Amino acid sequence: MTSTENIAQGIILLGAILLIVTYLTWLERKFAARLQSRIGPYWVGRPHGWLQPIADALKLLIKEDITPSKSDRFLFNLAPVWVVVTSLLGFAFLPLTASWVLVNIDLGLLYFSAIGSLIVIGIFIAGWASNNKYALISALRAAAQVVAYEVPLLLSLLVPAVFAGSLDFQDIIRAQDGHWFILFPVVGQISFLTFLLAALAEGNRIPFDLSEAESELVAGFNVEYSGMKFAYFYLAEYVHLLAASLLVSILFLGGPLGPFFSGGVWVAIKTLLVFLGVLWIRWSFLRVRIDQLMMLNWKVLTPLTLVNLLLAGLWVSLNG
Amino acid sequence: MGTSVDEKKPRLGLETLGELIRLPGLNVFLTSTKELFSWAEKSSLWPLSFGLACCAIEMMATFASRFDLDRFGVIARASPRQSDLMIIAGTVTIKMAERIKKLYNQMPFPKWVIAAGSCAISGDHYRHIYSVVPGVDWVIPVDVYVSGCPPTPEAFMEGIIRLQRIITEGKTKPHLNTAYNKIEQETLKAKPQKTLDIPKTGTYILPGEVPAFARDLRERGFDFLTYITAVDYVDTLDVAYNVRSLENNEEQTWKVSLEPSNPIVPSITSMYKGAEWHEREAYDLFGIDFTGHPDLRRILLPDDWQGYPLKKSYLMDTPKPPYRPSRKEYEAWKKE
Repeated sequence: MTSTENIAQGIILLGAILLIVTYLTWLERKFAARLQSRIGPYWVGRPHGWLQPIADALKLLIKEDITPSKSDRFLFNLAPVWVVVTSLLGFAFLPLTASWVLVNIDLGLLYFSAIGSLIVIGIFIAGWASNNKYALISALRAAAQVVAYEVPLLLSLLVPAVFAGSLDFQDIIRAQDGHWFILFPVVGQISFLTFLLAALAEGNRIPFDLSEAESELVAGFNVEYSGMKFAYFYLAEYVHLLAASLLVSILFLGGPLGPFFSGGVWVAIKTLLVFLGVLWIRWSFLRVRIDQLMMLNWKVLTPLTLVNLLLAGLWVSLNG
Repeated sequence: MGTSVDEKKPRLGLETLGELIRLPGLNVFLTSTKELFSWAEKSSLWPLSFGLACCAIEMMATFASRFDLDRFGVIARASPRQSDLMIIAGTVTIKMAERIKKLYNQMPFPKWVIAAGSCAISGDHYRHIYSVVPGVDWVIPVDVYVSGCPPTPEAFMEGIIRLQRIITEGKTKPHLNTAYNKIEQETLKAKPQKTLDIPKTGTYILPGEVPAFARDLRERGFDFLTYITAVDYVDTLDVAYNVRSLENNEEQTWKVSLEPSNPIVPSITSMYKGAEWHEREAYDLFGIDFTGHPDLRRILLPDDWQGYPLKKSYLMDTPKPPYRPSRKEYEAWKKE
């Protein structure tokens, strides 16, 4: 693959992701509305408000852009860009079909988790540069939360890697031929659930959205951002969520493996199902307290994932 | 859905914005950026999520399942930086008016305001009260008025649709509050005739005896202070105390008559902790000086308020600081 082809494919992938993510917001609003026996977006482009995300994006684009006079101007403008770029970078290493991946490297899983944990730096910059007490508290919470949940996240990610004996996504998919890792008794399911919980905490989603708790922190770290800069944070959140759902479908649900359809279709179906599951969690549960959040991490998830990883390693070494 | 949708009404879709030209293998949609932008603005109105009084309950009902404002693309945002629309739902007090103006100034342009309910429109039956702004348009410009007390969810939705129409037509018509006309001025100047036929009954003690009396009651098991309040009889200013014994289910009331020009009474905060707030309230609204109170400041009104509004001598027609802008100031502010 020449570099020109590579860049062209990258641009197509970027456009596709942005379009998909725009419509994921529509999906979330419709889904939430259904759960609350409402209708959701309806009048903006019929049928069923299909133009709603376009209208939202356009409105945010033409909205006045406010930079607070007491903020750190450079960092304030850097934060949204940082968050979007780091959240999009992860997609470069994720295989979207059985054979196609933008950047094919042996250590895809390692790269993905390394880049995924960079997002919180952008959030922290946003909170710090806004020069706003709510934003700062929110940023501190987000940093504490993400650093803590990084441990069970990585430990549960390692289980499929141990089973497959590789950090390459292609190898992990190939190893799931015949039995997906989520079907592996006990170890697979625990790993799946802990990863899902840790990913929710990493993406600042309910029940772990303490950094955006409206009742305490107005709107969290993005409280001072208006217009398109706010839209960047919104976009980054959904891109991150989409990447996490995609990762779950690849690591635990066999990714492109499945009958009848080709690989890409299966990836899409599985990712969408995981995404809907995440939405279901979001619109059904309450927000936990910060001490409960930390307790869940250090007293439950971390020991559990450690034991789980040990069991996986034992099984592989005995059967390998 | 609670309301039926009329199919004949113009759709809020793209087809009203421009024309679609069908060429072989190609559809071309022509519109102007102005129309497209105003379509985007009206299709995604995000209100600031805050409510002031009972109208906010109806507003919440409008957001919830039966009525569902999300159908119009209206979702509430918590930060003023991310919202386009401010729905004033409830009575605007003078203390809140400053916050409303601050929040309004924090919102990015273009922004709109809906005054919902008769209190937000004109102050309604609270408009002559010392602490109420007679209509939110004294503070910020209003685009759409939604009548009702409180407005029904249907009225709220009608207000949103009317605002959308205003945005499409490209003109906002901020109205001035016309209620402050000559007749209004005269009714304000007319001194309210207040009846003074409340009987002065009950246990009256001297101001100096209050701490000893309260300590005695406290030791006899009256452990809960229900209230401390005051009545202005013009010739005297009476303070009423009520304590209760939760164990024996008994209550005891006593009163103190004070000189209106120099109302001083010893504080009972050392006996009853809860008296601190009650005494601050009596000080705030009646100007009664409680000697020995640890922190005698205003509690309800802004710190720079002048006068004591519940006294009969308080004049309603004279403008009082800190916040009741004159018509001239308001006009000047709107021109900025």
